[in-house]
Amino acid sequence: MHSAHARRSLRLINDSGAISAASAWLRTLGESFELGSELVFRLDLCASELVANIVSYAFEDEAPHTVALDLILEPQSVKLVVADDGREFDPLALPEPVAPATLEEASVGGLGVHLVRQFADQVSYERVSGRNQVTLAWPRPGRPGLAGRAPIRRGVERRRKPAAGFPLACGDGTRIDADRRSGGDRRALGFISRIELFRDVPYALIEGLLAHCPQRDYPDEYVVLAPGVPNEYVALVLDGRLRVHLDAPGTAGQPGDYTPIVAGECAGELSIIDGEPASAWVIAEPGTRLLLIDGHTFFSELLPLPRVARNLLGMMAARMRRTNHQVVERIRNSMLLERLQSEMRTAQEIQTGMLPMRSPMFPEHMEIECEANIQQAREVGGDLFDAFFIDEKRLFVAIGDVCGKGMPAALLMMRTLTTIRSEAGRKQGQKGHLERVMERINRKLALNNERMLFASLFIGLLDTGNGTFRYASAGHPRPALLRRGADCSLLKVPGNPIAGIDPAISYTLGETRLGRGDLLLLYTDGVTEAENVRAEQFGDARLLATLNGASKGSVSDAIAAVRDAMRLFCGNHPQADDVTLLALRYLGHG
Amino acid sequence: MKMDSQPLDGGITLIRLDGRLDIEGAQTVDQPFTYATSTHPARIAVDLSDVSFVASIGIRTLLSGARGQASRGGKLVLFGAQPMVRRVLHTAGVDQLLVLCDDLDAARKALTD
Repeated sequence: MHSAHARRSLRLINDSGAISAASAWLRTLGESFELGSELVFRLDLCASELVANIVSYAFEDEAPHTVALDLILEPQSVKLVVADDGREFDPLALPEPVAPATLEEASVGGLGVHLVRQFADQVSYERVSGRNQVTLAWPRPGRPGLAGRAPIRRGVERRRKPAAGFPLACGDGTRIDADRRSGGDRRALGFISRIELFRDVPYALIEGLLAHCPQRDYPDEYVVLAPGVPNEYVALVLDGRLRVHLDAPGTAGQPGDYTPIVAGECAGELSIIDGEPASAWVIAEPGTRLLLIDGHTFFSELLPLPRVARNLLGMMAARMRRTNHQVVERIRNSMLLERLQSEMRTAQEIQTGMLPMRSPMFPEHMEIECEANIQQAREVGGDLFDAFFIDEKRLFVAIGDVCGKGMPAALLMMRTLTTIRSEAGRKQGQKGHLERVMERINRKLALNNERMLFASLFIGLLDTGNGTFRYASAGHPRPALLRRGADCSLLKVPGNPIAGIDPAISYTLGETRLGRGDLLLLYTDGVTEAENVRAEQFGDARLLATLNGASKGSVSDAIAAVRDAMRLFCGNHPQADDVTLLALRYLGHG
Repeated sequence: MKMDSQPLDGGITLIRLDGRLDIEGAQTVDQPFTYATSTHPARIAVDLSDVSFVASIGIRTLLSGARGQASRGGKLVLFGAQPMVRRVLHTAGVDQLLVLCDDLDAARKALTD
């Protein structure tokens, strides 16, 4: 029988009879599957040793436990899985026994595990949900196309080559005269099974080799490699973690801008391969322990092993993908930022373009003087103003301030402005027109207001025929009114809440009559709340006093006077808010 | 596992082991082997040519016999091991502690040197 795929299982109780039972079972299977005497011997030996260990050491109680053996036949391989639910034991973590010098010293402790590691082609260990699981594997002999390859012998024959003897020449020119490793160092070789580079590599091939490579602990944040520095070792991370930084760590880049190299992975192989100095910063994190393989050992002992070469290629491919991903991400982010900045500039242009930025605003209307001016604190702000004639003699004015900054505020500002324009033009002249404009704006803002953005708004309608000015305010600062020959004061405004909170508010209008030469100044709170270095605000009083002093000039003079006074007051203190001013003087006809 | 011993000329004792030196085999021959190898000084050649399998427990048996004989001032050599058995003994480092000979002639020579 020579099935390509087969799986056979045996469950045993952990008594001494289990060892012979396992061995008899494997010999029978070996014969029926034509595995050949040598492989059967190896299976038999490894199973005997592993089961003997389990029976003797795995359990502390007297209760019966199950020892599970599974023989898995695949076209190219034969696997034996031995599992138990006893105390955790990784046979790969056991040190290689030191050969006794004399018969008297000889003991056979640890010999079983040593034999398993030498007679199995591959050994791996896993602790899975409270179970020890040792998997042994061999190439399957006698399969068509594999005849004469006899790969089984390789491990043992290489093993027969004497391990490098002392003194050993190190990569840095120094010599090691004796093996000074502690038991802990030796035990650390158990990590071989967890090192990516040695995945599926026969243990016997590398154990002796790696035993002679130094292991080193690193102080926190130690710079293991730096760009331009020649590198002589491939560093395998046994414990802890390395970070690879492209930029000098701590000087540039984001904190997350590095590639981690965790236990089981390796660093420095690129510069060993191409002989160039290191190309990045490699930093050791606390508790990092490295196994250093010098370039010579790496090239002449490890790389010739086909599985090692294949693993290395796999690791490098994975890392390249990861690095590519990082680079692409970086480029994408910088492109995104650039696009965002360009979009912000466009938004600002659109926003500014929406405001009536001409001066004077209505040169053809001799009966009024109107001028406006906005100074934006940021790229996109929340202030808005507008002024337009809704018919031949009635001028609509509006000023507002959307709370918040940035793109959401800018969008709301544009929406508010659009609403003002469309509503102000509708059914003008009818009774309740201005109230309706305010109510509609409020309702539009209050509905669909997930971001809870609000706007203060002041709108007014001036009848240029007789100077009647009717107005409504939604929580906006009261305009300043400078009557000819009188002191400047704040306009009396019926108090209404800010727009965008409650969709069902009714707005009350205010009304006044402007005399010839009277000046009305609409402004946003960026004016009165402008601060100086002592955190004092410009305030209403200063504004009114400034306007008193500017009563003789044009409306542009009045705006300039306010701006000058603010500049004088604030000095170089940067302003957080937009500053908008709209000045309107009624001149009347004739 | 079977064991028998016979005296050869030149004061050499030949011990022949036959079967598997696994846990059962080791348990079977432990007592007679220890008796034959450790009670009096001798020159002992152990014939392994019919041993088809050896595990660490079997190595323990062989080593304890050799150690017992060494402490009596005699000598014990092994010969004729099959290739896989020989490989196990080699891997376990037994060849560094005991003389492993190819055949009886070599064993005889090793014992009389």
